[in-house]
Amino acid sequence: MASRATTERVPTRVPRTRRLVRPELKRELWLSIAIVTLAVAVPLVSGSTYWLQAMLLANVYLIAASGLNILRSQAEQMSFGQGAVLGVSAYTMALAIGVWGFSPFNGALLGFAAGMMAGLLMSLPSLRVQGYYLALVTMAGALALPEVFFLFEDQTRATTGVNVLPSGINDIAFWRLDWLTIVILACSIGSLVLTGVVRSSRFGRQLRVAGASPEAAATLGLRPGRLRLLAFALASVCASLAGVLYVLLIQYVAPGSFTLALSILLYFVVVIGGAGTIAGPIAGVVVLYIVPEVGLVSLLDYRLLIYGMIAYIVIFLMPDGVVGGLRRVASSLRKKAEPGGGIALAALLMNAPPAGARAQAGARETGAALLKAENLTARFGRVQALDGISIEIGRGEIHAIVGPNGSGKTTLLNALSGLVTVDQGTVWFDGEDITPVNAGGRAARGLARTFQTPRVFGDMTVWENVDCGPSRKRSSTDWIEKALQGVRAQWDGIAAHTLPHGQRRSLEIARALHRAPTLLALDEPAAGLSPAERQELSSLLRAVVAATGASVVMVEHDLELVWNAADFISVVDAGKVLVTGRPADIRHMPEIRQLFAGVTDVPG
Amino acid sequence: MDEAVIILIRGIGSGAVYALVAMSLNVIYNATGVLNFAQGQLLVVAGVLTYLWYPDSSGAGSLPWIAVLLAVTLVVTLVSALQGWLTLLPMRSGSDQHSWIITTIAASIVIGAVMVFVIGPRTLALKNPFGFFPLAGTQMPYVYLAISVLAVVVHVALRWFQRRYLVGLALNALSQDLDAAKTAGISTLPLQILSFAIAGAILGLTGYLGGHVIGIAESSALHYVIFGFIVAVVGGLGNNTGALVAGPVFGVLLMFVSFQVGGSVEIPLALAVIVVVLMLRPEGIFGRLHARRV
Repeated sequence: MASRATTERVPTRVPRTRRLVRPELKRELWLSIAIVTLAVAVPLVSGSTYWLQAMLLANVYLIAASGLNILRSQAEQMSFGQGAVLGVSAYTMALAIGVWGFSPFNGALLGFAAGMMAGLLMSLPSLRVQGYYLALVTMAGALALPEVFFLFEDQTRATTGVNVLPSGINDIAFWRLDWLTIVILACSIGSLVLTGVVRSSRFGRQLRVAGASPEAAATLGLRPGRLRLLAFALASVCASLAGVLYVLLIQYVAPGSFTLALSILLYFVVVIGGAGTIAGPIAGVVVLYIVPEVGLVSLLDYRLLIYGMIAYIVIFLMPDGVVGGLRRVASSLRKKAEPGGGIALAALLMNAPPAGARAQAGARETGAALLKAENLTARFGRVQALDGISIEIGRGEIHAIVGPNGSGKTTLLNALSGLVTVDQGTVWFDGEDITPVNAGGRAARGLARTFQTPRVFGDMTVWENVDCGPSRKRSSTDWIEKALQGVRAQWDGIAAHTLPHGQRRSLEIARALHRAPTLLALDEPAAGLSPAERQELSSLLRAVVAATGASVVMVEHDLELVWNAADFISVVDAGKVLVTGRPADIRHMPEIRQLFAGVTDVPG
Repeated sequence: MDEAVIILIRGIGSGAVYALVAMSLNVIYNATGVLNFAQGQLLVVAGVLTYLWYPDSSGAGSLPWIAVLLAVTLVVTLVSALQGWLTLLPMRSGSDQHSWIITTIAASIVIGAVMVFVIGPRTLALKNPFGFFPLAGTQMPYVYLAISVLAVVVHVALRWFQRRYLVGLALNALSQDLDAAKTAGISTLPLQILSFAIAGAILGLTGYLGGHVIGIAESSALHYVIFGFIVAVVGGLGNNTGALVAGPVFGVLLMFVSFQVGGSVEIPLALAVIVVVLMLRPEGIFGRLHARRV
């Protein structure tokens, strides 16, 4: 993991913002490239055609598996259709060259295009369903593919299969090396590099957020559906390429080569090798393909038995896959503590120039509310969650929404941030009617949001967690962005899983601030915090308002925090606002006394 | 007209098999959240054992049919319980909640490999244990009726078990809220293994009666389980009443279309069914829409 000691040179140097592969991934990437190169070079030098052919096919599978690795681990899409995409690409190419008389180059292009089309079809259900439903649909697709070939027997020659004659690419380039070997090795290395680049990129982190928590992604201004389709497209590029290379290498296709078993093999290769790692698919191909199919060729009858047992045993012993397991062993041997540390967001905000405060004061003079919601109504089945609720949030104020469980507080927050569609009512934001605008559009207008359970990715660094929204165009000018860039290198050295719970809240707030919001909606920010952390949160919220001029609206159960931090309090019950006002003005009301009983700060 | 009756009876019969697979999937899903991909292969085990142990026509060394039925059911129940234990074992320790996808498919592959050793890669022609009845000018095997009755009986029995007995109630509690059930002091692992055993028993009975209806082949194991999943999803995952209704409808639809076009259209058609249902109504026909917690 991250091991750069960067703390001391933080203030002096702004780190390079563009780097293709994160430094801590470089060693793994070079090692992976070395392994695949050696795997091809050794049989080539020793002159073993059998092993060379086996290793080249293993590399073809590796290309498809690397694509699936991005889809499965980065975008968290459970697809069992990768083998089918490979199959469509390979079969179409073989038909184009072997039957329809295309040139090898045009045939390969057609095959690649057909594979991409199949990948697009596989990806469409992901817009509607996730998790094992998606696994099931893609699995049904992969199961149906060979049947479809047989259904169109006259066109596909399914019973005999299709032969493809060797072409120019099978010629020797120099020495014993043919062009195809060079191309396969290059593509296989390319797929490894692609994995590393995607993992290091903001795009990869966007995929991650969209996959793990679509609603969090939407409130960051990302479009989860589009990101999923892009992830499928990347995976399909790899699978279609693998299909093309498969035809060039094997020179024969039949429906039996592209059954559901191939898709399952590729999925297994990713998860058992070590999902999310660069070297994982290599380890997966070794233990699931090379060992049972090639290594133990004398035990061919027991092939499937061995394959199934290896899969079970690896998952049982190493739930994170071979590479994940090895890494865990290595780090426990080294006994080196992971670089930890904290993030001091409040201190960062204290240094803000007074510009933010001025903006806030100006807004107060005009008196126009930042957000105004009128008569919001939402019903879930028999539950009337919002019953004609109205609320106004001024500029630069902290507005707390309190009320008993089930009173509609979170639903109200969801309705404001666009995650819940209201049946009736209007929401104005900054003078604009945003009722028909979805969560992403509201995020783009400056509405940010955090959730009850922090959406923090433990295996990424703090900075990676902060910087996972869409790229911003006007970013470099505002102060908060500069301040965050100042701590970027330091935060990029802290593994997020080392952060205590309270700091994860700060991280989420930092993520929201990175979007330069004008309204920050927080859902129970104090849940699970210690008394000291609550105190810090309170001053952090004050600092946010002072430094950025943004408003904060929060749902909170901790009434002491509410009483101390909020400028306005709205008491919600049964989907309606009972009371709203400044703490000082409403403290004598009976609803407040009842709700705030036991909070020492409320004078009798 | 006659054709329609035959399609209907055969469709309902094969649909009943998928409904039974779907119900066995539901039992495990409700108790554990696992979709057990090995259940197609367990159905194959039941079919293979029925084939091996069934009294042959010569009558030499043969067992009465009820003894075979009980023996098959018992063995499949035990295999399923063992497989369940092996599936649940890695899930209890790690943080990864999706290990079951790998372990159940791996179990399916291993059981399949063993089955190929036993009978080889062929489709078994299982005998029809109950003779025929005349229908629309042909002889219709009684098993088509028997398997449909079995589906109803299993549905009623599961319902009764979950309401009448404490263990059944506890299983029901798991389906409502696994974490809450744990907190309430229900020891979940034995109950979850029990759910695998119950599913195994259902598959044992189904394999004995249904083998003749759908034809048992090791290579079709995933096909059975995916059809079972489709029926379960169409009916609403976890909902046995939904499965009982969706199964025969699905079966008749497949039978009708393959009668018109040919058998190879069966799986693409099933894919179309699941895609259409998930696009239009992801929670299934009888399913409840779970509100997402944000």
